[in-house]
Amino acid sequence: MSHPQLSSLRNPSRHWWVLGLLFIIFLVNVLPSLRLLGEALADIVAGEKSSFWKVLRSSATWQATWHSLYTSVLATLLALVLGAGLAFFIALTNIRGKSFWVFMFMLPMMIPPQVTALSWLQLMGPGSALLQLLGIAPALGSRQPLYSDWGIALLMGIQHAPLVFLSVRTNLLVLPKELVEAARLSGASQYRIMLDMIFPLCKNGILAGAAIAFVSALGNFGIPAMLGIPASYYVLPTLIYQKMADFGPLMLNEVSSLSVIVGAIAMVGVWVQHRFQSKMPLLGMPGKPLAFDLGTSRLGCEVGLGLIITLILVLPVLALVASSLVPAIGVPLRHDNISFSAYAYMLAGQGVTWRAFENSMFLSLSAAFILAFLALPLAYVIVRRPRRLYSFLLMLVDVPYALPGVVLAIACILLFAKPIPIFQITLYGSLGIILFAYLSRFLTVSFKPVHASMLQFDGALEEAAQLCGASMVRRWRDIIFPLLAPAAFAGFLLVFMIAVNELTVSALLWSAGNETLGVLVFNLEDGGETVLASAISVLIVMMIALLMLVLGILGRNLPKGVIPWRS
Amino acid sequence: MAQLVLDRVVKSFGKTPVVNEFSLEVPAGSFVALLGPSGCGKTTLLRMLAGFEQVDQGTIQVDGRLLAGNNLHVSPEQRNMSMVFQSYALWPHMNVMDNVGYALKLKGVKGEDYRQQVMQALDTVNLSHLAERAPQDLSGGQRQRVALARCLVSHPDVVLLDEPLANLDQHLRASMEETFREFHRRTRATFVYVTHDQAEAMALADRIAVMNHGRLEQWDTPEQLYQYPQNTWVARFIGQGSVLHVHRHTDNRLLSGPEVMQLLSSSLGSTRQAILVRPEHVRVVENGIEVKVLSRVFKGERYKYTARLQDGQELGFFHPARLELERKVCVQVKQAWGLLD
Repeated sequence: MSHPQLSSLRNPSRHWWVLGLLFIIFLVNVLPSLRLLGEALADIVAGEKSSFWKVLRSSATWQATWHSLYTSVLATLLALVLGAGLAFFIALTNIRGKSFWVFMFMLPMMIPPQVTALSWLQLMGPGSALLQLLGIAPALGSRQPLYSDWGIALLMGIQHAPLVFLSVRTNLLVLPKELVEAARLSGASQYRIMLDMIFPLCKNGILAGAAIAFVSALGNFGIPAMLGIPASYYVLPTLIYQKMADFGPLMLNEVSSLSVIVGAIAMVGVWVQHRFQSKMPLLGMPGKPLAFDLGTSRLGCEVGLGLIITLILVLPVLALVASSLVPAIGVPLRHDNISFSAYAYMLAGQGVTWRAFENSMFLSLSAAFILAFLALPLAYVIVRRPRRLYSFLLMLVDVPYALPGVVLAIACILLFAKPIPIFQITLYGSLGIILFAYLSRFLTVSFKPVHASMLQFDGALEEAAQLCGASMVRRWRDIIFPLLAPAAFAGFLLVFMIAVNELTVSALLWSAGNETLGVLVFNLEDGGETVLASAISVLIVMMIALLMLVLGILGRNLPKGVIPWRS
Repeated sequence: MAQLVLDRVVKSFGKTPVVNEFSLEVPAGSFVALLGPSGCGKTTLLRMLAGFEQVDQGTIQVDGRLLAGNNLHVSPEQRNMSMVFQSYALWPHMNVMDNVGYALKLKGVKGEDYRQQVMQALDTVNLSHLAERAPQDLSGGQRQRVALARCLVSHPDVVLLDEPLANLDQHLRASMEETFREFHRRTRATFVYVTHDQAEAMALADRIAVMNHGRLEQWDTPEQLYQYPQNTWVARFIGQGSVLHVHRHTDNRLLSGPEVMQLLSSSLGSTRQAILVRPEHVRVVENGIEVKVLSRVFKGERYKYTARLQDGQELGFFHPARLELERKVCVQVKQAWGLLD
C-alpha cells in the first residue's frame, strides 16, 4: 500500500515553507542558466555585429569545437571499452574480492582531474622521478608525450570510464537470473547467452554510460588545461578560460556566447543519456547475482585485472609520490636524497598553500552543510507530494551539474558582475560567488542519496507517529530526520569530497586571496612548482581514498542507490 | 469505547469515485470488519476514519463529535485513534520499548510511570522480555504484537486495523486472530478491521460491512451474511454457493427442498430470478435431478464437486465418496435462498 500524500501537507496554511524552498531552488539552480540564456538570446537578436555572430565567424571557435568533439569522442570510446569491459567482468563472473575491485576502479573518478593529469605527467616524460629511479626516463629536453590530443583523450577516457562502469554494472545487477537460467535450459551456451540475452538487455545501460562519459569529457577542464595549454591545443572550456584569463570581464560577451555552444552540445548528451537510462529495464532484484564460472582461468583473470589497475591507478600515484619526495624536479630520487620539505612547507600553516586549504575547507564544508539541509525537505516534498511541477524541478536540479563547469562559472559571473540590487552586495571577486556556484552545481549530488532513501521510506512510519499525537515538527524531529540522516550524511561527504578539490568552476571565479585547493595545484604546476603540487596532490588522493572507505562502511546500513558505487 | 457514525461519505481521486455515498453506524465497543475485493475502497475508508484522507462530502462523527465533513477536518494526531498497519510501521531507529511508549512520551509521561505503562502494554502481548530489542530482530508475529501494544498504550477510542495479517503465514494467522479477540475484550475500544479475506472477517467481527465499488452492499452479522445475502453479488462473494437462475419470483425468502426441486426441474421461463444453493444443502441420492460431474477436488474429509444441470447451469456440492468425471448422478437440494436480483 502506498501512502502518496499526507493530510497535513494539504493544509494550505503550511504551504509557506514549500514555496520558500522552491524559491531557493529556483534562485540557486535555475536563475544562473536563465541569465546566460537571456544574454545569448539578446545577443543573437542584436544582429550581425553582436559578439555571438563574431564568435561564430572566428576560426578559433571552430577549431576548439573540433578539438572538444575529437578528444571527447576518443575519450568516450576508451571509457566504453574499459568501463563496460570491466563491468561485465566484475559483475558477471565468479571473480574474488569484487568490492575491492570496484573500489579500486572507482578511485580514478573521484580523484580530481588536475591531480590525475599531474600524476600522469610525473609518470611519463623526461622529468619523471619514477622513471629516473628505474633508469628508463627519456632524455632531458625530449617532448612530453602527454602534451597532445591523444594524451588528453587517454586521461579523460581513464577518468570517465568509471561512469560507464557504474551505468553498465547497475544494469547488469538488476538482470533477473531466471532469464539466463531459462536460456540455459533452452540449450544456450555461455557464449550464446552473452550474445542473445545479456548484451541486448544491457544495451541501454551501455549507451547511457557512453553519453554521460561524453558529457563529462566535454566539460572536463583540468586535463585539457594541464595537457593542452602548454601545447597550445585548446578545447572549448580551456578557450573560455584563456580568454577570461587574458582579457578579464571585457570578454564576457564573447565567452558567454562560447558557453552557450558548449552548453548546447552538453545538453544533447544529457538528453541522450536520459533517454537510454529511462529505457533501462527495471526487471526486479535477482536473489543472487549472476556468476559465470571462469574455471581454471580465474587466477589469470584476477592477475590481468590487477595489471590494469596498476597501470591506470597505482603507477601514476607512485609517480606522484616519487615527485613529491625529490629535492627538485629533474633530480633523480635516491634513498639518500628523499626530501620531505614540500610536505613540511605545506603544513607549516602559512602562505598561499595554507590559505587555499582554509578556503577550500570553508567552501566545501559550508556547501555540503547547506545542501544537506536543502536536500532533506526537498526530497520529502517531492516524494510525499508528487506533482508534475516537481518532476520538472527534478530535471532542473540536474542541469547545473550536467553543464560543463565553465558554463556555470560564466553564468555566475554574468549574474553577479554587478552588485545585487537592493542589498548592494558585490559577490564577484569574493568567496561568496564560489560558494553560490558550488551550491548550484552540487545540489543534485547531495539530493540523490536523500531522495533514494526517501523513496524507500514507508509512509506508514510517519502516519503511525501522527496517530500517536505527534505534530509535524515532532515527526520531523523524532521520525523523519533520524531515518534520513544517514543518507543526508552520505550526501554531505560526497559533496565535501568533490567540492574540496573542485577546479573547473573555481578556475574562473577565484581571485587573489580567494584561491581554492584545486586552483592551487593548477597554478603551482603552471608556475613550475611541481614538487609542491605533487605533495599536495598526494595528500588529496589519500584524503579521497579515506573518505571513500568511510562512505563504503556507512553504505552498508543504507538503502540501495545511496552510495553511487555500492548497489 | 466510542460510537462511529459515517453519513453519506464520498471520496474521489481525480474523477474516479472511490467511496460513494457510504453510510454506516458502528455501535460503541463493537468489532466490525470492512470486507471487499481489492480496490473496493475499504482502505480509503479506513484512512478517512484515521484522518489521513480528507472527506469530499458527507460527515464522520465519533460519539456525536464531528471529525470530518462540513469543511472541518480534525487532524489524525487529535483523533485519539490508533492503527495497526499492514507493514507494522515500527520505527527502525527505536527499540521495542520506545516504539510502544512513543505516544506516552509525547504526552509527557516520564520516569517510572512511563516504564510501568509500557511494560504493562508489552505484558498483555507477552513481549516484555524483548523490550530492549530492535524491531528488525523480531519475527513477523512478534512485530505485529509490538504494533498492537503500541495501540494499547494510548487508550484509544477507536482502533483501526489495515489488513494486519496479510504478511503473516497461515499458522501465525490463527494465533494472531486469537490475540486480536483477546485484545478487543481487554480494551473495549471500537475496532474497525479492513480485510479482503472473508474467513478472517467472519472469525473476528461482530458485524461485517461488505463493500464493492465504493458502496455498501450489506451490513450484517457474519451468520446473516452467509445465510441470507441481500443480492447476487454478495451471494457470489461470500462462501462457495451456486447462484442458479429460475423462472419464478422468489424474492428474499427461504425456499424449501421440494420447492427448489420443482423450480430446477421445470424449464426456464421468461422471468429470470436467482436463487443461492449452498453446497452443504446438496445431497447425492438415488432419485432426484440428474447432473453430470464436471470437476472434482479432494479436500481431505470429503470431495468438492462441480456438476452441470440439464439446462447447462453449474452446481457445487460435497460428497464423501469419489465420483468419476462425466458420470451422471442424481442430487437433491434441501433448501435455497431467493435473491433480490
